[in-house]
This record gives sequence, structure tokens and C-alpha cells, in this order.
Amino acid sequence: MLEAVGMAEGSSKSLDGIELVAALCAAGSIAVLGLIIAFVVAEGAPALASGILTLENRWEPEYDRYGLYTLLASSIAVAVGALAISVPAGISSAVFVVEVLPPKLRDFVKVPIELLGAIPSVVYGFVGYKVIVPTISSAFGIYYGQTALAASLVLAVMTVPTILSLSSEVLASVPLEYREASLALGATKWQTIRHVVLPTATPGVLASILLAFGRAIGETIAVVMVAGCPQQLSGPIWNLLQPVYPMTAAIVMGMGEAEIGSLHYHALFAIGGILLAFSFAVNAAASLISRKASIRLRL
Amino acid sequence: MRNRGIPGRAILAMSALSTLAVLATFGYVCYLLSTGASALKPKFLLSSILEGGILEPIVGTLYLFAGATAIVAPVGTLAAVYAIEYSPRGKLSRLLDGALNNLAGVPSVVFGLFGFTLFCKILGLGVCLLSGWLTLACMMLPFMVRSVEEVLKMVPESVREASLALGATKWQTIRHVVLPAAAPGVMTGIVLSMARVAGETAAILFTACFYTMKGLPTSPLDPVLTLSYYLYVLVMYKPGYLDPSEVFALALVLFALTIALTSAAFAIRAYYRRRWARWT
Amino acid sequence: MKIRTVGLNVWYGESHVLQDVNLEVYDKRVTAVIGPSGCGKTTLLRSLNRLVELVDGARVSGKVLLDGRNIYDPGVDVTEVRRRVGMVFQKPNPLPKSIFENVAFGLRIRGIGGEELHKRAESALRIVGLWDDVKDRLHEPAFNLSVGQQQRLCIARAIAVEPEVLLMDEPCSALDPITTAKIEELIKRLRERYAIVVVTHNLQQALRISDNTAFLYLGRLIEFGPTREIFENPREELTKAYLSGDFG
Repeated sequence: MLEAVGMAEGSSKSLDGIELVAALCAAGSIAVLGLIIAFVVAEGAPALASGILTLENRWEPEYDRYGLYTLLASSIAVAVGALAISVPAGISSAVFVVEVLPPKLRDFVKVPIELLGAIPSVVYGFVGYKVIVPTISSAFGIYYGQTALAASLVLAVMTVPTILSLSSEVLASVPLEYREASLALGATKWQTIRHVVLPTATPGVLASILLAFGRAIGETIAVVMVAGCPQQLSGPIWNLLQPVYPMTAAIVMGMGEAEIGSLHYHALFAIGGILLAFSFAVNAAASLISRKASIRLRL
Repeated sequence: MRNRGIPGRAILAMSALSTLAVLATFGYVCYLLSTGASALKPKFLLSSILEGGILEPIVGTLYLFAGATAIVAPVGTLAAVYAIEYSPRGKLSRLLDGALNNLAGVPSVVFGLFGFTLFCKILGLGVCLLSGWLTLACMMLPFMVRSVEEVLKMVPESVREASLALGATKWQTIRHVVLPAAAPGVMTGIVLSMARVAGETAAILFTACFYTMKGLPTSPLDPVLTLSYYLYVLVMYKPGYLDPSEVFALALVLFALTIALTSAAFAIRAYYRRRWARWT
Repeated sequence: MKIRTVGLNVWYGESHVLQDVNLEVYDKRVTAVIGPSGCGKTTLLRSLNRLVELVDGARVSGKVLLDGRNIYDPGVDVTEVRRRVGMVFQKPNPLPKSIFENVAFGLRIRGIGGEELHKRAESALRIVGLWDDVKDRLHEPAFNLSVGQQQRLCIARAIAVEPEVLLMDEPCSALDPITTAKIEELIKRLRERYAIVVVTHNLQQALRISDNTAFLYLGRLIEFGPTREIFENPREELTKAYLSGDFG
């Protein structure tokens, strides 16, 4: 009896110890996020404060020109272009995989799709550089194939798996009861999909599109290899055949040259701050929409 | 809604086509990279970059993600254990969940900025392997924690109750009952995280890598070359240095590595999902 | 006779769920299907509107004759079968749409709209006794209704397409006794228009509402006949045993 008590005391001491360590690990993980925000803000603030950041269409750090329009417009153009391809492709493929394919084929097909999403961005950039850029160059008769179109195409391939996987999950979790009710009333399979399954899945699918958009904005290496990186956009934002300079590319190109503590250096962190804000906004929006999806799916 | 047959067939055709297009894209990428297979000779893989080989990038990649994994595996596992076993409804756990979701969405280049500031600059480590380990460990955290959490949640409550009813303490239960059962999930987490960072470039570009010809890193405070970084450098700055087929070979090695790791992770996950499905 | 099954057999993969069932369903009558859990009652119901085909690996042999024509014939339009043979499920399953759109769904997918749609929807809602409750909130989500109202909505939805047969799978098992009584009243009224098949595990309910009763046990139709006779004077030993509560 005493032994048991003694053992219990001893064990509870080690229990406290382990629990503390585990709690520290959890806290540490949270701290990482906090530190990222803190550093980006701290190092980016001087750029904001000194007013060097403008909205003009010219990003030339060598001449102390920090016009954000070039970078922002490039990022958005490339991301929108990518989604214009990957959203219809991803959603219709998801419908096919979930609604049409028999279960065994479904598992088989999901493999290459998930692997497609696992390929490193540098490999995508490389393939884009070797194949897409020359193709654009010859197809449109322009000298440099490094354009927004090239970046959009590469990003489209990179974001399709995101949309496909997430949309598939949402479609598959539409309750059987809804489908049965519809079919029992004499609806065809496609009527059921169009009028019951898809509307129910819409919030979840929207969330997946948002996440894909976030990924497209945040992608670095693949775009820097195929986008061109000029100092300014020569045409309007919707011209996909011009070289572009997304925010992420600017950071990568800039960090190689900027002196620590220089204005350029701080400007790059300010861009990092914009990217961070983008990713948080996308995450928050996606969570909000997902919650709405859970209600419809009666989870 | 009037014509019931025709729109159905049109949608069917379109969705089938887009699925085929996606699969064809994957097939094309595989095919394209396989053109580098001809250059995959032992000489290429084992000689230094100074001699046109890729030895340092291969070794560097292994060093880099081995170290990063060694850091993130215990930390991530313990964090997951805290969130699921010790404090499932606690405030810290909920904060953790939110933090991880946001962390997973942070662009890799921002991780690079973070790592550069904290590890290279503030902690004075400079551009080196250790900075890379720490930066990558931070990147891998969400995937590691989530994988472990997933499998911990699968362990039925009855198993824990049985252990506690026999007089084991909470930690003993975790250590001897829950974690062994959760081992596959930990494995998946490790392999998935490795797959994620094997191809990572942006986060290590200015925290761990330096295009140096100094040879293999001899200590964690040396900079390192990785397959991904080397490919990036070759394409952007040294297009003529290697034969085209050799560059494809490099891409192929990196591609194969990622595919192998990802497939392994999925296989492990499928295995334990099936195992636990039967249990419950 | 509205529906007749001839040698109906259903397999789920290897499992022989329904064996040689010869059932008769009469028009403007209520046929109750009773039997212990897991004996194939729901499968029987679902084979009458071909919903059984949704199950992976399901196989059907034999005939189900609706007005003399086999619904499993290759040329038959399954969606038309399901319009003629409507179904109400055990757990009310309104679609995630408004009250009105739920009732209108079956009509819309057939291209019916406008005046006709509104007329038939209102008529269906009146028949089930929901119209007064919902006429001012037709565009609210169907989930806002109580469980009992949801079930009545599902019935309204099924009758809006003017079926000839109504299949009801334990329609009251999710409802409280008062609501159950109301639904049973409704079934008695619906009997004047449709052939109704009700699966129930509640023997008193079968006695209350049905004209004919079929007793199913382990996939076989053990006995079938007028409800009164089955309950007062069952021919089979098994039927007698089940009715006296020897097993459930």
C-alpha cells in the first residue's frame, strides 16, 4: 500500500515533467508562428516608415525605386491565370473521380494526382523552363518565353492537385441521404449531382479554391524560373505575354544582393509581410467557409 | 432541366477529359524527366560538382533533411501528444491547432526570411547546415504534428482505459501503449515531412546554401548544397555548365526521391488506416 | 394488384439477402411488412423502386411487376419507375434547400415550373397537413422544421410527383408517439389514393393501419395475408412465434 503510494508519487513527478516538456513543444510551435510575424514586422517596418515603398510600376532597388505595383500586379495576374485553368480542371476532375469512377479505380487514379502535388517546385520550374518557355516563345513569336503565361501554366499544374484532392473530399462527404432522396424522386445521377451534390459541396470547394490561390501567390521557385523578373510591367495587368515579377521572386532575387540592414533589405521584409498577410487572410477565409460547409454537410 | 440525357452526357465527357488531362500531365512530366535516365551513371552520382557530378548535392540533401527530421520528429510528436493526450480541450491545444493551420500556409520564402533573421543573424549561426535544419524543422512542424495527431485520435479510448485501470500512470500509458500503437503515424509524419522538404529550395536558399566549391560540409556550421538548390543554380546562373541530359538526370534524381518518400508515406498511412478501421 | 414480385432474389455480394419472395401489393390498400431486424424488410422495399441498385455489388434476380410490367426489364426508364413508386425514408431526409424547393424538387427536375409547380406543391403540402404551418415560410430552410414536420415534408415531396405507390420504411421510428399518431392518420388518408407499403417493427402499428401483412424472416416471405387473419390466426409456426414475442 505504502509502496503503491510511493510509486504513485514518483510517477506523478515524472508525469509532470513529461507533460511540461510536451506543453513546451506545443507552446514552441505556436511561438514559431509568433516569431515569424514578429521578425517580418520588425524588419519590414523600417521600409514602411521611411516611405520608400510606393505604388508605382517600377521595382528597381539599384536606383532606390520600390514601386509595389509591379510586384503585386504580377503576383495577382499569375495567380488568377493559374486558377482560370486549374479551377475548372480540378473541379470537373473531382466530379469524375468521385461520382463516376468505381471505388477501385478511384484509389488507383488518386495516386498520380497526389504525386503530382508532391513534386518539388524547382522541378516544376525546370520543366517550365525547358518546355513551356520555348513553346510560348515559338507559338507567339516573342523572343523571351518567360512570361506571365508561363508562370500561370506552371502554377496551374501545381495547384490542380490541391483543388482536386480537397474538392474530392468534400464531394465524397455529401451525405448519402441527400443523394438517396433525390434519386428516389426519380432524378438522374447527373441531376442529382447538379442540383443536390454540387450546391451542398460549394462552400468546401470554394475553400479549396482559396487555398489554391494562396499557394499560387506564395509559390517562389517555380515562378522565378519562368516569369522573367523585369523591373516594370510593360503592358496592362491582363497581358499574359509579358514578363512579370511576382513578390516571391523579388524576395529571392533581392536577398542575394541586398546588404543586411539596407533599405532594400527592409523592403524585402515588407514584401514578406504582405505575403504573410495574404496567407493569413486566405486561411481565415477558407476556415470560415469550411465551417459553413460543415453545417450543410451536417457534420 | 428539360433535356435530361444530353447535359448529363456533356458533363460526363468534360469531366472525363479533364481527369485524363491531369493524368496525362503527370505522365508527361515523368516521361520528360526520364530522358535524363541516360546520364544516370555512377560516375555522375558519385563525383564532385567540380567534376560535373552531383555528389555534394546528394550528400547535402541527405544531411539537411536528416538533421531537420531529427529535430522536428520529437518536438512534433510531443506537441501532438500534449494536444491529444494531456490537454485535448485546453486553450493551448486550440491555439496550437490554429497556429499550425496558419503555419502550413506560410510561403516558404517567408520561412527563409524568418530563418535568416533568427538563426543566421540573431543567433549568429550564419548561412549553414544548422540554420537550415532549424528553418526546415519549423516548416515541417504542421505536417509532423498533424500526422501524429491523426493516428493518436485513432487509438480507441478503451485501450487507454484498460491501461489506466491496471494502474499505469498517464505517461506510462502513453509511452507503452499509445505511442507504440501510434508508431506508424509518427513514421508517416516523418516520411511526409521529409518528402515535403526534400525538394525545398526557397527556405534554404539564403539560410543554408552557398554556392561554394569547398566540398562536403564537415560540421553543422558549414554551408551546404542540395539537389534542389543545385538545380536552381544551374538553371538560373550556369546554364551551360552541365550537359542538358545531365541536368535532366539531376531533376530526375530529385523527382524520384520525392516520389519515393511521398509514396512511402501514403503506403504507411493506408496501412494503419486500414488496421485501425478494423479495430474500431 | 398494383405490384407483384415473382421469385425476387437479392444478393449483396455473397450474402443472399432476399430469397424467392413472391409478394402482392394491392392498390388503395396498406400492406405492412413485418419481421425481426436484419431480415430484409428494407431491402425488399428498396427493390421495389430499384434503389437497391445503389449498393456496391448488389444483384437482383426475378421479376417485380408494376401493373404487369417488370421494372427490371432492360428498356425501362428507372427514373420513371421511381416517380411512380415513391419512397419515404426512416430518418427524415429533407434536401438542404428551402421547404418549398424540397416539395418542388421532383417536379423541377422534370421540367415542370410556374403555375403548375405551385399548384401541385401546395396541393401536396395540404394533403399532408403542413400547408397552414408553412405557407408563410416556404423559403426557410427545411431543416428549421421539427422532425415530425420534416417527415411530413418528405411525404409531401414524394406525393407531389403524383406517384402510384408509396413505399414507407419505418416512417415513424424517429418520431414521438403523438407525431406518430398524426402520421398514421395521414397514411390512412393516403390509402385512398395510393398503394402503400409500410415496413414496421411495431406490431401494434401494423395492426392499426394495414389491410394486408407480409411477414419476412431471414430473407424469406414466411406468410402473407389480410392483417386480421395473420394476427388472429397465423398459419405458420414462425409467424405465431414472432407475433407472440418469442423473438424480435
